[in-house]
Parts: sequence; C-alpha cells; structure tokens
Amino acid sequence: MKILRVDMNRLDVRSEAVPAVYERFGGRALIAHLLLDEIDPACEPLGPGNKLIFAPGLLGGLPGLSSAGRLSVGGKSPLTGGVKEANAGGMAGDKLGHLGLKAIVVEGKPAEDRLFLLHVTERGAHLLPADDLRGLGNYDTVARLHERYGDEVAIISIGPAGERGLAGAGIAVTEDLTKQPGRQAARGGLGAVMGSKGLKAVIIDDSDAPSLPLADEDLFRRAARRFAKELLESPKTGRNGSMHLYGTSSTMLPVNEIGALPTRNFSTGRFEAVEEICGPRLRETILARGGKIGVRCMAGCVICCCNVFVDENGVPIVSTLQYETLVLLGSNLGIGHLDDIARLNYMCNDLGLDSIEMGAAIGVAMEAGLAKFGDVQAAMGFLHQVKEGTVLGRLLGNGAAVTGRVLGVNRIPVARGQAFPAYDPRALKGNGVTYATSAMGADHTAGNAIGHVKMVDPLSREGQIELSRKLQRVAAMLDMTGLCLFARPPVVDDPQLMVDLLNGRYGWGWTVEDLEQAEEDLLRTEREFNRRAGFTEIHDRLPESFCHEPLPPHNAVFDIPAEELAKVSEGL
Amino acid sequence: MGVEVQIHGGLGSRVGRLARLEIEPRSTMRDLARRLSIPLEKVGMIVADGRLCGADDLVEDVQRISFFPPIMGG
Repeated sequence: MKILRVDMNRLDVRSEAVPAVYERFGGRALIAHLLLDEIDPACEPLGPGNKLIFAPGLLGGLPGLSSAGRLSVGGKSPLTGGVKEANAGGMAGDKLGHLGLKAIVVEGKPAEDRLFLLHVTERGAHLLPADDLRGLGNYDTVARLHERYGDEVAIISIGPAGERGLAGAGIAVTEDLTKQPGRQAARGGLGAVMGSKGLKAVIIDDSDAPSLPLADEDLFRRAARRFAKELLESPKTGRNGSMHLYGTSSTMLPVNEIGALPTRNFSTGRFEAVEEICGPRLRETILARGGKIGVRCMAGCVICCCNVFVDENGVPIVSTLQYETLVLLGSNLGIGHLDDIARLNYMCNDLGLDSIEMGAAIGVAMEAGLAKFGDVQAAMGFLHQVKEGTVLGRLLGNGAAVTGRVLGVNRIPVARGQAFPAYDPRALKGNGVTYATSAMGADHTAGNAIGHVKMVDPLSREGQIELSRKLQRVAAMLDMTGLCLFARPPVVDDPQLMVDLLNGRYGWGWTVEDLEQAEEDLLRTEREFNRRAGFTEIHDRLPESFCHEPLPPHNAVFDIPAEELAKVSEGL
Repeated sequence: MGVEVQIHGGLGSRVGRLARLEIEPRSTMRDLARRLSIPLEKVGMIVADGRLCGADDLVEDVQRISFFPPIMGG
C-alpha cells in the first residue's frame, strides 16, 4: 500500500510506502493520526499548514464485499475549528483502495491563484491545469471530465462554493450507476479546504490495477458471503426492508411521529405536511414518473438505498434525494413539496454545498425575517445569492452559526459551529449527546440513536450517555473500515464478522478486543487533536436555547447535565 | 373505545392505511398487532399519540397508534 503526497506549493506528486505505524489505520482513523502527527492543530483551516486527506477504509477496493467502499475525507474544519472527517459513497473509495492507495495527502497551497486536477492511475499521478473549470458547478465539471477521461473513472470535485472558501462547502463524489456527482462528503466545510489548495477535482482511473491480495482468501470469502447474506435477509436492509424500499426517507414518518422532526428552524417537532415528503410519497412519486428506486451508489452494494428523482416528464432532477436533505431543505424551511426540495437539493449539489448546513442556514435566515417559511422562491433566491457571491450569499454559505450570529437569531441549531442534522436533540436526546460530545460537532453519522428508541426512551435523560458512547464507537468502526452506516447490522450483532473480514484481508490475527481498542484509539486521537486546537469540556454542550426552549409537541428540552456529558469522553 | 391505527413499511398488506378500530377494554398493543396480522418481531417501533410504547402496554386513552418497521436513520 502507498500514500500519495500532493504538494500544491511545488506542484508535484510523490508516492511513499506506508510507514509501519500507519499500517493498521484506514479511513477516518488514518486521517485522525495523520492530522495529529503532521499539522499544527492551531493552524488556519484554509491556510497552507492544513492538509486535505482522502482515505478509503481498510476494506475498500475489494470486489465481492458489499457496501465497503466509502471514501473518507479529512482535514481541520473551517466550520468547527476542529478535526473533521466526512465520508461519501460513490465510486472513489473503492477505486483508491483498488489502486493500493491508503491515502492521498494534499499539502501546501499554490503560489498563484490557479486551479488544478489530480489524475491518478495505476501508472502514477499528475497535477494538470484546470483553470478552464473555474466557476463551474459540479455537474458541468463532471460532464467535461467524463468527456476527457471516460465514464468509468471516479471523480471527486468541488463547485463554486469550495472555490470561494465557504465553510458550508462539501466535496462531491460520482455515483456508480448514474455517474453523477450525487454523493457528498458534505460536512465541515472540507470543500473549502480543497478549494484553498487550488484542487478542483481528482480523477481516479483504476482500470489497469491488479486485484488486491488477500492474506486468507477462504476466511475473507466466507465472511464476505455471510455479510451479504445477512444484509439481504435483514428486515432493515433486505429486499423487503425499509432501507431498500424507501431509502433513508423511511426515517421521516417515525421521527415526525415521536416529535423530533426539525420544522421551521427547529421550532417544533412535527410537520403538518409530512405526508407530502415522506418515504412512501417519495417512492410512489418516483415510480409513477418513471424514476428509479433501489439504486446502488457503490459497485456491489446489495442494499441499494438510493433513488433517481425525476420531474413530471421523467427527466432526472437529482440523485439521490435523502432524508437529511428532505428535512433540512423541506420541513425545516416549511416546504412540503418533493419537486421543490429536489430542485433545492440539485442547486446545493451543483454549487458544492452541504444541504444540511444550507438548510439550517436558510432556516435561520427565515427565522430572522428575511423570508417567510414555505417560500420556495426565496429559498432558491438565497442559493442564487451564494452562486453570485453576494454578501448575503457568502454569509449563508458560511453556515448556520455565522448566519444566526449576524442576523441576531436566538435559536441557532449548531454544535461546535456545525448545523444539527435532521433530528431535534430535545426529542431524541441520544443524538443531542452525540452532537455535543463528538469531536465532529453536530453529526448524526457519528452516533445516531434513532434506531435504538425501542431500548432507550428518546425523551428520557436515562441511558443516553451510554447509548451515545456505544454508538460513537460503532461509527468509528464503520468509518475506519469504509463500511456504509446502513450495512452495520451484521457486524454490530457479531463483531467477530468484522474481525474475520480484516484478518482475511490482512492476516493480522486480530481479536474483537483489538477491534474495540482501534475504535477507542480513533476517538481518543480525534479528541486529542481538538484538545490541542483549544477545545475543552465547555465545548461539549448544546446551545442554551435548546436547553430552555420547549419543543412541541412534547415540550421537551435538552436536559442532560454538563457533568453527565463529560462522562462520554472519560477514558479517552 | 375507538382508536386510529396506521401501519408503515413492509409490515403487512394494510401498509399506509389509517383504520379506525374498536378496541376491547384492557387490550394491549400485542393484542392489536395480532388482530391486524402484524408480525411483532418485524416491528421496530410502536408509537401511541407520539409516545413510544411496548408490546404489552395497554391501549387506553389513546387516539392514534402507528406501527413502524425497523429504521436505520439518514
């Protein structure tokens, strides 16, 4: 395995063998260690001292293994000021893994204001001028690069938001079937870090790469077959499971029913038009119009939770329309029409903006009176302003926290400067604990309690600390291996299955205890980076308004005391 | 006593339908599920008037009950 070092100051690329100390780290874990070892945690996120890292998980690039090709992207976040890892499905993670690349580390900053492409193949990697792509959205960027390099390459790219250094900018990754830049390593403003490096896109061509070696092929194949079988038989991920039938939008009605659905800037937990944007309505609409349901984003994935949302004439608007976007750009803005949300989603994807951060920022702007909730044209106008680079556009593009402070809004849904995703932490308190205590800031993928409400009452204070801590470890395991969050049931039910996959691939002779230590090591390393960046326990909180302002319909507040929150990181 | 019941996801042939049922006194959620042929082992969440409840909870003073399959989040 190799690490590619891309020096944007000298404009050269070199390949190095993976140091022994990093051999057993992948994805988010490798990113955490590289950042802690190689950058000053106090550095300016958009300055030359920060590094942008692309890293597939430990199981990336292996044919025959479902749902393990997530690409982790990391760096110091311009949004949170701390360590950041955001990951995406799509083609890139598997292709980097297949090329034997453990990471691409992008360092420095070009002396001149220029843009570049990084072209990665089995024969080597090169930086190429990309000034002709300046200002292009992700869809046009990808179309031009497909013309030049063909459809089978994976493309990682940024839109104008990343080029402008907006803290709400994400990084797009092309999908396996649609080839569109529909997958996003959206969170934390890493698109702005990529823009600060002058890197417009990465093209990955693995067509000449040999298969990866397996230390114990029989063990690996048996584990991979069992993994796929259990996914297919699962009531959650199988062919009759809610994830396959409705995708992530299956989450909407239950979250609305328990009163935790962010609505009109997190002012209430139920949306009166939820039936218009929920999973069954999404499925019914897509199928009636000739769109697609049950689409995969990664080669070989058996879950196939994605969709292609089309207009009334069957013309694709966006792929894939997901729960978080349906909520943040839908109910959170008082918008109850799928077509409107899909168009807002497309605009975010094209500009290269995190739809969660933008939905929260626009919600805050609506709260401030800049537009009425439910005003779709106003929401589109805000995104046009981001595109045009107006003062208001730059404000919104820098996220909900900045927008709320400037506009004088009291209820700003953020933790560590990053917008809450689509679960109000007052009515799903386990997620509130995760938002407050994860090194990532408010991030549902760092430990989402919604699947555990049967065991832990989401409105109760009891059991939330232990639940979040457990879920944060599970997220760490998934993010270091490249496994999709939705593929977790088999390996959470039996961690030995994950151990078998890793031992089959690498022959490490790991035990479940080794895996657990690796999870803790990852969380500890991220926490240490943030400590050195200036974070203390007082940052492990949610905004006071969420602790005092009751959330209808249950009139819940986030009431987990600070001394309890501090227990999450005990031992790390 | 009447209650509105909604069944979601792949929990049976009555998916998505809102039905109004008359309930016997002291009935539990389990009784209700049995009556509607909802396999409880496939139920991820039962919500009664916005509050989560268990299979053995009584269906008392409740207006609306929803049966959801297991969900995984966004």
